[in-house]
Amino acid sequence: MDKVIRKFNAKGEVRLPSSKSYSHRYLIASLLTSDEVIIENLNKCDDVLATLSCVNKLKEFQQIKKVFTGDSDVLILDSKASGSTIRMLLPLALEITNSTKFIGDESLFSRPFESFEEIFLNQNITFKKDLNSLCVKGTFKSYDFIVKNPKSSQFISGLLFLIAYKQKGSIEIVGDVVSRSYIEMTLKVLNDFGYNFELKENKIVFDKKIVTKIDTIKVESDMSALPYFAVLGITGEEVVFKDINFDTIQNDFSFVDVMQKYGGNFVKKDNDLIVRKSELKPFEVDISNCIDLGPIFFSLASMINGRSIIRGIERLRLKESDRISSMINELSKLNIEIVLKESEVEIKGSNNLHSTAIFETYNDHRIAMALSVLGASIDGTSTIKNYECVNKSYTNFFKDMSLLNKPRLTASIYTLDTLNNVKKCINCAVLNNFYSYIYEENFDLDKAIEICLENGIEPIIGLNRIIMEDELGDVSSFIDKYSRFKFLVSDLGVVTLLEEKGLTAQIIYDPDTLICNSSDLNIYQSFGFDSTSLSNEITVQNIIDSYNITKADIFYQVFGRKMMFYSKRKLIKLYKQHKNLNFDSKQLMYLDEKKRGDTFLPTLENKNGFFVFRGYNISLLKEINNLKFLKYMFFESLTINDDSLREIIQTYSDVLCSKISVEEGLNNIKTLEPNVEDGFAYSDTVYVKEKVHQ
Amino acid sequence: MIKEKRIELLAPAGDLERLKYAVKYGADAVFIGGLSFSLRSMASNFTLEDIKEGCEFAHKYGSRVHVTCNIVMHNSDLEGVKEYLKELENCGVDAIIASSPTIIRCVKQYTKMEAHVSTQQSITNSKGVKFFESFGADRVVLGRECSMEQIKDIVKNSSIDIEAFIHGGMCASFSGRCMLSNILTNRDANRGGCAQSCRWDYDILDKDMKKISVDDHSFTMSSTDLNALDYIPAMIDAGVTSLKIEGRMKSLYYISNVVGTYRRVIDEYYKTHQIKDMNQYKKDMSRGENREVSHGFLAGDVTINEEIYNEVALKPNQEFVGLVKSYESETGKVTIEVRNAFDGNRDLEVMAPHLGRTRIHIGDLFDNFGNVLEGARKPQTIIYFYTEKNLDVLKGEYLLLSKTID
Repeated sequence: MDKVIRKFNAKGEVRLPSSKSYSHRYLIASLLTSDEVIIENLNKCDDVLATLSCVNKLKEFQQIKKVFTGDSDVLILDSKASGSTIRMLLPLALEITNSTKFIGDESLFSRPFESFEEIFLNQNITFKKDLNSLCVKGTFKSYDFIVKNPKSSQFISGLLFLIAYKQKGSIEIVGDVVSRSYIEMTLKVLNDFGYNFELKENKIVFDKKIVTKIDTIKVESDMSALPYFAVLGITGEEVVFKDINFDTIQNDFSFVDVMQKYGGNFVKKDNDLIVRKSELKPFEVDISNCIDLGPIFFSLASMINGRSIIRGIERLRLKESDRISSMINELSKLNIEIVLKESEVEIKGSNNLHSTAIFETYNDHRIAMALSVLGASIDGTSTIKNYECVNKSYTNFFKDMSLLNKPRLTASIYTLDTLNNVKKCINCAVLNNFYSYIYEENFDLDKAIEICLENGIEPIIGLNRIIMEDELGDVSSFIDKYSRFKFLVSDLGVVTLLEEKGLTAQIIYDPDTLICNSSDLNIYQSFGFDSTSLSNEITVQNIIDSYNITKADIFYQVFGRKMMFYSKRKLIKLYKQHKNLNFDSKQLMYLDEKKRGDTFLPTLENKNGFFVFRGYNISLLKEINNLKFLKYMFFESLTINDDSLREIIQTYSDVLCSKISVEEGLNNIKTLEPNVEDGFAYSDTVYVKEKVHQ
Repeated sequence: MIKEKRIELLAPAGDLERLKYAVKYGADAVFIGGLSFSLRSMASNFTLEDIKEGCEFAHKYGSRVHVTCNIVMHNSDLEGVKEYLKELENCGVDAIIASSPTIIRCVKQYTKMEAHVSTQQSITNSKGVKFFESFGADRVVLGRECSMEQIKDIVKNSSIDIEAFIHGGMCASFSGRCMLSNILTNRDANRGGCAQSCRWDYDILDKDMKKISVDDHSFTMSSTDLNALDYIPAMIDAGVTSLKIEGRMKSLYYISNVVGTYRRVIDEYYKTHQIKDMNQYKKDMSRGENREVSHGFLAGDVTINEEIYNEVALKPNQEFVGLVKSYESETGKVTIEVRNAFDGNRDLEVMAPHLGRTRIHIGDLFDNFGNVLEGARKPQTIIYFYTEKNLDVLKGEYLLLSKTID
């Protein structure tokens, strides 16, 4: 199947999946101690669960302190389809039980076991393999092993667990050492449990056991997907990787070092890695020790002005596809100049690419991911053929990628109390001040910005009232003061002021009622604004159609009161004067028009004028899954109490993340704020065309 | 000597007849609505044939025709914009008034007409003007919230034409930002369906829903109509390009009266650089008004004098009775088309282009067959009466008759 990908500015958090390799190893290592060990962040894929159940069975066996003696005594362990389980557990299981039978999927037993077979037979240990089981029986006479040309590092790891358990022994590897990093990983896990080894050329020798008390182990994240999302952060806006082990020895993490060297905006904050939009310089990198990074480095180099060089690429040819040819073929569709030499490639990139490419993926997951990230980083549209091939390593790749393109939940903020109340559930806050339609006089804008920044909320400065000629100077200074932030703007004069200051990309243009069609939306969006709003007086279908035609970044109100009357006249003040009345008109009031039924229209008056809002809150929760393309989902907080507001936004968030169903969400909203209607979501306003009289 | 570029007096016209009278009474330009893309869907809008005839008439007298295409389009309205604009150009239209950037761009891309930015965009500062200048527009119609001082500065700081409202109805809200009609009646004000819900009567309640206004439904958002007679000299001095009279739905008599009065004020100011008797002009103007008027925002933020709370329809002191079809100078016979009821043997006022008003006395009324009528009762019928012979005022064209209301 094909997937069409367009550029988006990635923003959001990524929780990389926990490492399967570490999960297996920590589980097995837990057999080395009688202490209770809590393993957090365990990857719960089928393979790891197989290891878990085998380990539990062995632990049970250890506790009853039984030793098999009889011929028929055997502990049966089911390793399902997991080669890691059987290979890394087998020597230790035999040591513990003297007799173990591994069962599991047939495919498992057709894979190579020569390394073990040879070692075990040398020590007179029974090694019996058939189509669906493997039996080992006997005791080790020596723990000094010689492994010849191992086909998998997992054999070495399996023996290392055994040696650690016995606290004596060594492994000598004859021939090439494959996947050294996985062996290092096992040594690291053992080291965490207090078992130290000494490394001598091709020999690993047990050194000593240090008494350590371990209670909690946290499995680190699998870094292999990090480079892909990091590139989205570099070309987009901001990607935050949660809970990263910065001391990781996983090879793919070296991507971070390379990026930092060439201008990547990577920031470490507590346990998080924050990747922000960056201007990268052309880079030079040797990937012989991190060969899997090849395809993403190709993609990245093609987007950077200048010539980047990738060295140590020979082994790239031997992966799921010939990754050198694959990437060269596909990048040539973007007219990228690539010079291939024996062991290096030089790529002349451009930061102004436009794609109409249909990318082949060669049934290679890393090629598919690298090209998808490229497509999401450049203008135009890119089609990814056979995108499902990412399933080999990362079934949720496209789902997780789309999470970085999710709507930013944005609330209008009038008081610090409201901000503090909703700060955990919003991505952006429109901070209303004197230059907004509605504002609170004592609102401390700078303090609000500070709170936003502390909480990872993007502040958007409200600048959405209509500006008179004699105010332009003040508005200009105001913009200068907050020029690092985005502005919510409804006056085209303010748009021009921002353009003149080079801040076009920080404009969220929201003329309230005035943009009702795709063509106008397209024109405004073409100016290069951050985003543009559509009117709430058109149907949901109209919004969807307009997006599909324009692919514009859209700011849209999905909840709350909608303004429907904006006058510069202070109508209440004048009315009070006229009738000689003296009531408090600084607070919220309502207008009641009885002839047309009970509609209570919230009304406010301030220095900017007189405002009337719809008599109900609009709520588009029902349609939220059809509106996921919105860049901002805006919640107007007027007349909603802070607690309800927080719960309402949280409800939207939960529905968006499929934590709860739309129906559950609608029920929540009904309890929190019963005064909710669809507005024009399903019925357009009437266009009175007929002539009524001459 | 370079001929001074004079300010444009821009008048509304709901149909061909009103267009002709507006032109004859001194409008330098008229704005009309076509059948498509135009607000005021209830104003009698023009077919393409009418537009063509209107353009020919206006151009004959040196006036221009602007066509409003100022609805806020929804997706379903987008079709046929370009074709329609080309048709308008073929009819001889001089300018298009629009708020949608799509229409403005089409006008500039596919036709040679001018593009004027509608007041629906609520442009109230020179940077907003500049936005549309960069976009290719030829003129911006300012929001009605600007003071005279601000208008002056905007003109000074802008390099394209500025049009300002001088007369007629005022939106209480910023134009285009008002959804009262949409929400309360489902009639889309931005697509011509304004139900004027701002003029309804409301109660004001406090946040606990307790009534704080007095009387029943005594609060309204409506405002007085605009009348900028006092500001015409300032508008001319400021360099405003065009002075706009609002009211495509107003009557023939109203339009002729308003246009004629402003025409005389503008002409006098250009001729003498002063206005000798503004009160006389104001008195003339008030004869056709039926709503309270004020200077709106021109003096700055509106005060109590520019608002209406218990709107009572102001009775105009003149009522339009008919159009003069012919005058026989030798006999004093005046043939007219009746518009409103009146009786014979009384005084009537004749309004003539460029002349103001003259009082005449008339005798019995006769129908087409020479029968004496008790009174003129049927609109659109042709009747005649006799008045003085050889009256200069009745020798002109486009004369309108009115009676004083007691």
